Amino acid sequence: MTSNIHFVSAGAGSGKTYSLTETLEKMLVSGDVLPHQVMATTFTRLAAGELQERVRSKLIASGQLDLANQVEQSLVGTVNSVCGELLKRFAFEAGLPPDLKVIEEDDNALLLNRAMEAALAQSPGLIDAMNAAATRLDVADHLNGLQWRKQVRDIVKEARANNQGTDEVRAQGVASANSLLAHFRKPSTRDLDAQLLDAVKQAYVAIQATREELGDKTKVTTEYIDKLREAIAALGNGRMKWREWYALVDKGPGKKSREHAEAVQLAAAEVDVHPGLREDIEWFTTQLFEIAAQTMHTYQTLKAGKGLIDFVDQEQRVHALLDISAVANTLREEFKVLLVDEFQDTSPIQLALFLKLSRLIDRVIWVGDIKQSIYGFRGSDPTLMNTVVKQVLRDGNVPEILEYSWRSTPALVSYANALFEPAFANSLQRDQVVLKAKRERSAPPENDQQTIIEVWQLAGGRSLALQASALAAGIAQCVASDRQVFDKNLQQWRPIRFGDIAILCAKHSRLRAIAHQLADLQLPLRYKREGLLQTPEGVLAMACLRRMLDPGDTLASAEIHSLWSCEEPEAWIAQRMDFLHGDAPAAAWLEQQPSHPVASIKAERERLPLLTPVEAIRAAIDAGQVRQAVYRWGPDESQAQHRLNNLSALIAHAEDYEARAATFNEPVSALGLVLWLQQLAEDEDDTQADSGSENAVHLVTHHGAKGLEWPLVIAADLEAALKPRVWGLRVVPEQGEMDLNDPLAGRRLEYWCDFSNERSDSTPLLAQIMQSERAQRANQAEREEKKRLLYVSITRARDALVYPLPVNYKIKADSWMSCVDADLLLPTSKQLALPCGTAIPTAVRDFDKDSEVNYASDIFEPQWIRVPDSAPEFLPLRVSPSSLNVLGDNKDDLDTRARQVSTGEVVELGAPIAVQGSGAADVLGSALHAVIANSIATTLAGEQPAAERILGQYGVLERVEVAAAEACAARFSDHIHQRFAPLSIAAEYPLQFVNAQGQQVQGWIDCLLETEDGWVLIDHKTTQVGESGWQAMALHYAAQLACYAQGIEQASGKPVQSSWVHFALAGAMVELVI
Amino acid sequence: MAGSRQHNNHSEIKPLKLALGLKGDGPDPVPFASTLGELVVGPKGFLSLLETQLGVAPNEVPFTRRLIQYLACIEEVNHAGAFYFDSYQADPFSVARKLLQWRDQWYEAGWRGSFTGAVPARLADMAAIETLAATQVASNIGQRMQCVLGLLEQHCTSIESITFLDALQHFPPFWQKLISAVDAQLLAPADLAPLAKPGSDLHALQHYLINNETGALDLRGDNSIVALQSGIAGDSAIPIAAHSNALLAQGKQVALLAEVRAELIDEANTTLYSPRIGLSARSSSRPLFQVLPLALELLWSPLDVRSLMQFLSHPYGPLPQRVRRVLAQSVATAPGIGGEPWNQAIAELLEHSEGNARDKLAASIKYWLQAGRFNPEQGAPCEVLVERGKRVLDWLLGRREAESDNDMRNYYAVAINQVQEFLLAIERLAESGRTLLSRDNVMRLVDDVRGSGAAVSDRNAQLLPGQAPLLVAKHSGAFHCPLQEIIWWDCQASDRVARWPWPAPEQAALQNAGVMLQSEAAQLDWLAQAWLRPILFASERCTLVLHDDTDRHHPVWDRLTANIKGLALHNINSDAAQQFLQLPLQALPARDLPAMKRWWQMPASTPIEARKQESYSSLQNYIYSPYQWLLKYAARIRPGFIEPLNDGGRLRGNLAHHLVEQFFAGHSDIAVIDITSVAAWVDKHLPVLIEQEGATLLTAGRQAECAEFVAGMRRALPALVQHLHDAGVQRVETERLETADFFGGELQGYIDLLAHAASGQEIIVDLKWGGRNYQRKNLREGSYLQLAVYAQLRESQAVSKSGNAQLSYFILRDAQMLSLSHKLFPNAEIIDPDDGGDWQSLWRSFESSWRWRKLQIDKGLFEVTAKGTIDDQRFPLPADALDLQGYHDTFSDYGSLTGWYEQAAEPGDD
Ligand code: SF4
Repeated sequence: MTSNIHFVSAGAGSGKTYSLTETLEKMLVSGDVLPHQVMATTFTRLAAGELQERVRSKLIASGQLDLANQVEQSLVGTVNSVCGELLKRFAFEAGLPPDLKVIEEDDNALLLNRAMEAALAQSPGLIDAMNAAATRLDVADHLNGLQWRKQVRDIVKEARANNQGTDEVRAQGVASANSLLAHFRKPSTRDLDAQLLDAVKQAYVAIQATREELGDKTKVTTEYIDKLREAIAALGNGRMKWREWYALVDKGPGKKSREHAEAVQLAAAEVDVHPGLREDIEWFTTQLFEIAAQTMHTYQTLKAGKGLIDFVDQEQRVHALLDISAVANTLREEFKVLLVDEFQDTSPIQLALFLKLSRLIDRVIWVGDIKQSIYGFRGSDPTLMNTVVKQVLRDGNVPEILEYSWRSTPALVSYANALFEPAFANSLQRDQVVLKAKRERSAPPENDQQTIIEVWQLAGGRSLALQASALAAGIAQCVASDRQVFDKNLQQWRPIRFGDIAILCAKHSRLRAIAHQLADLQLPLRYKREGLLQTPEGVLAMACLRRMLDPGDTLASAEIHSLWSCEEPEAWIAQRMDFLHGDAPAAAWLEQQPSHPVASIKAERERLPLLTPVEAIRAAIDAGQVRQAVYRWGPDESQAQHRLNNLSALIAHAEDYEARAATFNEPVSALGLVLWLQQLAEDEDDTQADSGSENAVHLVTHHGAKGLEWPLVIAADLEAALKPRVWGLRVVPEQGEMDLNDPLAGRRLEYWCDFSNERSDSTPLLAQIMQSERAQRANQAEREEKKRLLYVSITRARDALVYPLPVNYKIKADSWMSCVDADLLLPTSKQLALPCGTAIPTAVRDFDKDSEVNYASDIFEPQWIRVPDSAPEFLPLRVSPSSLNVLGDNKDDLDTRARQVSTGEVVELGAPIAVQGSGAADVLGSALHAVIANSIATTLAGEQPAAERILGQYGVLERVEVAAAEACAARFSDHIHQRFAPLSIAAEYPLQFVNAQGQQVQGWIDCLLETEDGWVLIDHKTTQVGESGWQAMALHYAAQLACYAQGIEQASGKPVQSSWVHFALAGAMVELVI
Repeated sequence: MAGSRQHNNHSEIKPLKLALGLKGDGPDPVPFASTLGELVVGPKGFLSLLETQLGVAPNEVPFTRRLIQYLACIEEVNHAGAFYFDSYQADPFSVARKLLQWRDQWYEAGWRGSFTGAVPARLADMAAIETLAATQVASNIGQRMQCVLGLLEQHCTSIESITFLDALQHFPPFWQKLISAVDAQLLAPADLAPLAKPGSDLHALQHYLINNETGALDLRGDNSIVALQSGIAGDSAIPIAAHSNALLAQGKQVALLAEVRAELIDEANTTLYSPRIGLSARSSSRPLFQVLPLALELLWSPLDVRSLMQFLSHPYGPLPQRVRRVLAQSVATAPGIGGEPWNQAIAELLEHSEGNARDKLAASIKYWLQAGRFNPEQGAPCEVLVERGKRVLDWLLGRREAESDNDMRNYYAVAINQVQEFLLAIERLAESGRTLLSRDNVMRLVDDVRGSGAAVSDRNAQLLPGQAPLLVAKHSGAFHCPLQEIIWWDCQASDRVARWPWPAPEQAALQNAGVMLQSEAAQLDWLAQAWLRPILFASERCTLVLHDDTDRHHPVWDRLTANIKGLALHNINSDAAQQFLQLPLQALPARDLPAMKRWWQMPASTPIEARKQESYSSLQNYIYSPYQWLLKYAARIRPGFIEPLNDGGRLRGNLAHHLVEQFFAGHSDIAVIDITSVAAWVDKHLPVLIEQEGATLLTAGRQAECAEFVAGMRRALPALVQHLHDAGVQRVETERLETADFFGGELQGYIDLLAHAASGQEIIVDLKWGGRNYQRKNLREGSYLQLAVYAQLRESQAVSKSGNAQLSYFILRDAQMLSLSHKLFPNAEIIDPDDGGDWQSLWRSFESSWRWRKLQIDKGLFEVTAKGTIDDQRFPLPADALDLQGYHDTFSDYGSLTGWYEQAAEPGDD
C-alpha cells in the first residue's frame, strides 16, 4: 500500500533541486501530468519559489511556453502553505470558517500563555503553588523565574506535534513522575531540614571564628559564608531550593576552614531521600501535564474565538479532512503527483499526513537525506523517520540514490566519505552515504598543492577574546594569501574574499561572542543578530519617530542632533543650555533651525493623523534625513550598507507589527508601534539586517548552515562537550513494529524535572540517574544527532575546510568531534592519508593575537543623490472642472478667460417645476440629468423615453412627478432644436485636455450641440432659484463653463459659439458671455 | 406624447468613441491628449458608461453593506443540513463573505439566480439563499450587467466604436456577450510589431517575444533592456525615482509600472523634492479608522494599559487632545486608572474649566475611561457597544462638519461608513437574540466592516510646470501604446490565476445553468501576453527592477533568462548600475560617530550653576555619574512619555512602597497589629492598587508574574510587621519628607519608613523590591549612600532622641531585613562593614567626594562614567572619598549620547 512511494536519497550537495526539477519537467513534458495536478511541499517559501522558477525556466528553454505559464497553477509551498490552501478549499467540509487567519510560530507562545492563563484561572491558588514548587525545584529562567510556563508550552507543543489528545497528555504526567521517582530510595523520616540547619549554623559560627583567628580572607571562604547565611535564611523561611542542597554537597570554604564544612556536606547529601523533594517532583510533574492538557483545550477555544489557526492545527485538520470521502475523492481526481522535499525535516504529524496523502495520490516522491536530520530539538524525529523509510522500502520500493556530489571538490568528497561511511554504518547502507565527486579539480592547476583541510591552533587559553583575535588573524592571513576558490558564477578559480568564508559556531551565544570580538578587529562580518534598536542607526530612527509622536521628548531631540551632526557633546550641550536661557519653551529646542531634522520632523508631525504606523516610521526616517546620516558614518562601504539595511529591517519589523495586529484583530497606532518595538528589543527579537550582498565573513550556527554552502568553511567548536538531554521533555517511541496507517500510535512524552540543576553525579541518586536507561538513550541520541550535524557542517564546504581549535587541544571522548573518527577528522601534518589511499594536502597552523594581520579596506567616500535645497512649486496634476472655484470667490485662481465673463441672453423655458419633500439634492439632480439626456437620445432615435423608469431607479418618484420631469426635458429639447438647429447633439460627453499650465483637465459635458457655426455648450443645474437670482447664480458656474469651452476648442479646433447654464427646475437658460 | 414630437431638422446623436481594455479602469500609461468624445475604459467604466447612457442609476453599494444584507438571508434559510452549517456556526461573517463572493462571481458569469433540475447539494443550498438574496441584497456587477443587457435590447447608445486594447476573446464570456450587445463598430487591437530601433537589443527581444520564439537569443548589452536588482524595495525607490525624474527632465516619455508597493516611489519623490505621481496605498490602519477599535478596547477588564496609552496619545479621539495628553503622562508613570496620580491629573484638568464645560468634561472623561468594564470572554451588552459606536459616530460627524478640505472630508466619510456598518451589524446581531458580545466577537466585527480603508488624502499627483509628468501603470496589461522609456519597478509575481474553488461536477452544473466561467487556461493565456507588454511597448528602453525581498520573481524574468544570453542583472549599487542610472550624485562628507570619551569639557562660556536643592538621586548622579547630572539637571534633557511602560523591578518597587504606605496609614499603632490578618489585608488592597497604578502586571500573559508579586507582598508585609514587633516599634512614618542644609546647599529626601522604637530609638528602613545580594554588598563595603543621606537628614533635624538613627534595608521580594551593625531587629541579618566604619564616616567620605567633584565641575569637567569608557583616574581621588572605582552606570537614559564604542579607539588609549 505504500508501493507508490518513490524515495530519493539525496546526500549533501548531490544536486537535489536539480534532480527534482528534472523529474517534474519530464512528467510535465510527457503530458502524463498537468501543472495543476502537482502538489509539492518544500522546507522554506524560498525553496518553493525556486522550484517553480526552475521548472518554468526549464520548460521555457525546451519551448513549452504554455506549460511554463501554467506552472503557477501547481500547488507548491511549505507544508503549511499547502495545508492552508487545502483547508481554504475544503473549509466547509472541515466545518471551518473559510478565511481563517494563520498565526506565525512566534505568536504562538503569546497565545499559548493566554490560553494557559485561561486554564489556570479555573483553579485558584494553583499559580501560587506552581510558582512555589518551581522555585524550589529551580525551574527558572534568567528573566523572571517562571520557567514552568515554558515547560507547559513545550509539553503542549510536543503533544500536538504527535497528534495527542488531552487525556493522553494527562496520563503522561503521572507516568513521567513515576519513571523518575523509580530511581529514588525510600524517603527518610528524620527532620532533614532541622538537621541541615543545625549543621549550617554550627559551621557558620565555626568558620567565622576560624576566619578571624587565622585571618582566612580568601574569596572562597567569604563566598561560602554568604552561602551559609543564605541557607540559614532560606531554611528558616522554608524557601530553600533543592539545587541549593546539592550545591552544599560539593561546595566548601577555603582550605583553612574546610573541616567545618564536612558536616554540612553530609547533611546536605541527605537530600536524595528528602520526602519533600519527592513530593515536589511528583506534584509538579503531574501538574505540568495537567495544566498542559487544560491549556491545549483552552488554546483551541481561544483560537476559534479569534478565527485563528496555527501550523499544527492546519496539519491536524488536513489529516482529519482526508478521512472525508468527498474530499479524498476530489483530491484523488485533481492531483496526480505528490512531491515531498526535505523529507527528513518533517514533524511526526506531518509524516502521518504525508503517509495518508500518499494513499490518495498516484505518484509520490519523497526526497531527503536522513543524514541531515538535525532538527530533533524542534520536534522532528529521525528515529521515527528511519522506521518509516525502512518500512516503505521493505514494501518493495527501490530507493533512488543520487550518487554524485556537485558541490565539493574531489578531495573533500573523499574526505567526507572516509569519515562518514564508517560513522553511519550502524544505520545506513554504504551507497546512502558515499558520493562520487562530479567536480574535476580540488585546486587550481597553478596551485596544485593548495591545502584542503587545515587545523588552526589558536593561542589564548580559555580567553575567548584572545582566541577570537587569533582567529581573526587566521582569516586575515587567509584572505591575504594566494588561496584560490572556484567561482560558481564565473566558472573559474579566483582569489578568495571575505564573502567566501563562513564560520560555523555551536550556539548563538558563542556566535555572538565571537562576532563581538571579530567586529572589534574591524573584520567585515555578517550574521543574524538582534540589538537593532541599540545600533546608532536604530537609535536615530527611533528618536525621530518618538520626537514626531511627542514634541516634549527632548531626549529624542538630543539623540537626533548628536547622531545627525556628530558634534562633540560639549558643543551641543552648551548650545542647549544657552537655549534654555531664552524665552522659547524648553521643548522647542532645534525646531527653529532651518533644515535641521528636528524642524522637518516637527513639520511632518502635522501629517501624523493620516499615516499608518508603518508610514509614520518611514516618514520619520525621511524627515530626519536618517538614511544620509547613517550612511556617512561608514566607516566603510560594507558597514554603511549594513546601516541602510538595518533601517529597512526596522521598517520590516514595523510591517510585522501591523500584520500581527491584523491577525489578532487589534487596533494599531504609531505609539503602539513604538511600544511594540521596545518590547521586541527587550525580548531580544529586534533582529538586524542580514544581507548576502555584503562582502563579509558569514557567521552562522552549525544548524543555521543547513542548505547553504561556501568555498571555505571554518567549523568551530568541535571540541565542545556533548550534552545529552537527560532532563526535561523527551518523546519515547513505541517499541516494536509500526503501523504505517497510524505511525504516531503509542508514542509517549516523558518529562524529568531537573531538580539538581545538572549537578552531574555528586550524590548516589544523581549517579544512578545518570546510569538509567533514559540517560543512556539520551547519550546515544545526542551522539547520533551530533554526528548528523557534523555531516551537515562538513559538507557545507565547496573548496576547503578549517577547524579552529585551542592550542594543545586533546581529543576527548565526550567531545563533539568524537562522534566520528577524530584522528581521521583532524590532520596533524602536511598530508592526511585517507583509508582509500588518497592523500589530501592539509596543514596545521598556529595563530595568536599578534599574528600579522594586514588587510586594507578601501577608503570610504560616501556619495548621495543630490537634492535641491528646497522644493520647487508644484501644481496639482489633475484638475476637475466641476471643482473649479466659483466666480467671485477668488478671482486670481481663475483662468483669465473666466474673469471676464458676464451674463448675456436669458431665456425662459416655462414654469418652475415643483419638487416635494427633502432629500439629497445631488440624487435628484443626477436623476434629472439622466432624464434630460435620455429624452434627447430617445427622441432622436425615435424611441420611447423612460422618465418614469429613471426616476424610479434613482428613487425620486416621490419627489418629482413623472409628467413634470418629462415636460422639463421636453421644453429644453424643443428649445435647443428650435433655437440652434444643431447638426448633432451630445449628452454626457467626455472631454479631456491639457491647460495652459500643463495640467490635465478631465470632465463630462452635460450637453453639447454641434452647429454650423461651432459648438453650443450647456450645463444643467438643478438648483432651485428664483428669476431674480438666475444671472448671479449662472455666474457662479462661469469658471467651469469657461474651462469646458477652452477645452472643447482645444480638442476640436472649432469655436464655442455660446455657453449656457440651464436651470432645469426653474425653467430658464442663461447665456454666459465668455 | 413626448416620443411623438418630431423636429424638422435632422439632428443626430454625437457619437462616442471608446477604447476598452481589461485593465482600462486603472491608470492609463498614455501621454495625455486633448480629446472630445473619446474615452478609455475598463470593464467597470464601460458598465457604468452604459448605465449612464441608458438612464440607470449607478448602484455602488459598499461590499460590507451587501455582506450584512446577505448574512440576513443566510440566517433565514440556514439549517443543519446546509453545507455551510458548521462553518457558519464558527464564523457567520466569513461564511457570508465567501458565499457572497461565490454568487457574485456566478452572476458576473451570467447566472440568473436559480437552477433548474437536479444540481449538486451545495448549489441547491446556494439557490435556496438566493431566493431571498436576489431581491434583498443590493445588485452586484453581474446583476447590473443583466439589467443593462435587457435595456440594450430596446435602446441604443451613442457609442460609435469600441477599439479593443485587449482582444474581445480575452474578456470573460459574459462580458463578451455584453460588449457584443452594444450596437457599435468593434475594432480589433493592432497587431504587435517590434517598436524599438532595429538592431537594438530591445528590438531583437521584442521580435523574439512577439513571435513566441524559444530558441537561443544573444543580446549585445546595449542597455536598451536593463535589469537592476536590489535587496529591498525601499532601497531602490529613491534611485529609481531620481532616475525617472532625470529622464523626464531630458524630455523623455517615461512610464513607471508599479504593481505593488507603489507608495514607496512617492515617498522617494517627496524626499527628492520631485513631483509625486499620486500613488498611495489604501489602508485601514490609518489613525482615523483606529478610533473605534481603540475606544472599544477600553471596555474590557482588566484594562489593557497599552490600549489605554494608545487611546490617550492617538492623533484622534473623542476626548480633546489636551486632556488625553495629560492623562497619558499620568499613565506613563503610574500605569492604571483611578489611582492617586490619575485623580490628581483629572483634578488639574478640571481646574481649567468651569461650570457646564467642567461637568461635561468630567462626564466625558468618565464615560470614555472609567465606565463599567466587562469580562472579555463573557462579553459586553449590545446596548453598551451601540452606545460607544454611536458616540464615536457623532464625534466623527461633527469633525466632518467642521472640516473644509474635501479630501479630509472623504477621509472622515470612510471612517463614518465603517462605524455605521459596525452599528448595523451589532443591531442585526441584537435582533437575532444576541445580548452579549465577547471581545473577540466585537473585534472581529470591526474587522468585518473595516474594508480596505483609504489612501492618504494629501498625496495627489503633482505637476512640475514645464515638464511632462511621469506616466503610471498599475498592471503590466495596462500598456497599449508605445512609450520611449518604461521602467518596471518591483517586478515580482503579484498576480496569479486562482483555481475556481468548485469541483468538476459543480462546475458542470453551473455551466448548465448558463454560468460561463472563464477557464483558468484562458485567463492565463491573457496574463502571459499582458506580462510582456512593458517590454513590447517600450520604444527606446525598458528597465526592470527586481527585489530580493519578494517571495518569487516575476514569471517574465524566467522567460528573459531561460534561453536569452547577455541580459545582465546589476545590483543597483554597482558601478554598472550607477553608470546607467546617471544619478545626480554629490559627495557626502563622511562623519565619524561621536566617539566615547571619559571627560566632557564644557566651554567656559557656559557656566554651570549650582542647583538650589539636591535630592538623593541628583546627588548620586553628581558623585557617581556627573555627565548624567549635567544632562538631566543642567541641560534639562528628558525623555518624553514614550518610555517603555513602567514595568519590571521599578514598577514592583513603586507598588510595594505605596502598599506599605497605605498599610501603615491605616495601622498607626504598630503594637496592636494582628500579624495573622496582614496577608488578608494585602489580598484585599493590593489588587486594587495594581489596577490603579500597576496595570501592566494585568496584561494578558503575565498572570503568573502578577501572582508571584502578590505572593511576595503577602509574605513581605507580615514579615516586616513581625520585625517591627520584635523591635518594639510603636509607630512608623512612611515617605517622610526631610529637608536640611548641607555643604552643597539644601538637601531633600523621602524616607521610606521611619520606625520609632519604644526606647526612643529610630530606625530608618529603606524598602527595596529585590537585590538582596547587592544591598548586602553595599552594606559590607560601605557604599550604602542612600541610607547615609537619610541618616544625615534626620541627624541635622536633631530630633532623634537617643542618638543616631539605625539603618536597615528591607528586601521585600525575599522578606529579608538587612541591618547595618545594629541589633534592633533581632531576626535580621546583621552586616558589619568590612572597614568597621559607620554612616557618619560614610557621610564624611561623601562630602570629600562631593568637594572633589565640585572642583572638576567648576572647571567645566564632567566625567562620563558610561560603560565602554576607561577610567583614567585623571583626578586622584582623595583617600577618604567614596570608592568610585569600576563604577559603571547600567541604567542610564543617556546611553546613546555618550558616544559610540564602535568608533572607540583601542582600549586603554583615550
Ligand atoms: S545553536 Fe542550534 S540549538 Fe543552539 S540555539 Fe542555535 S539553532 Fe538553537
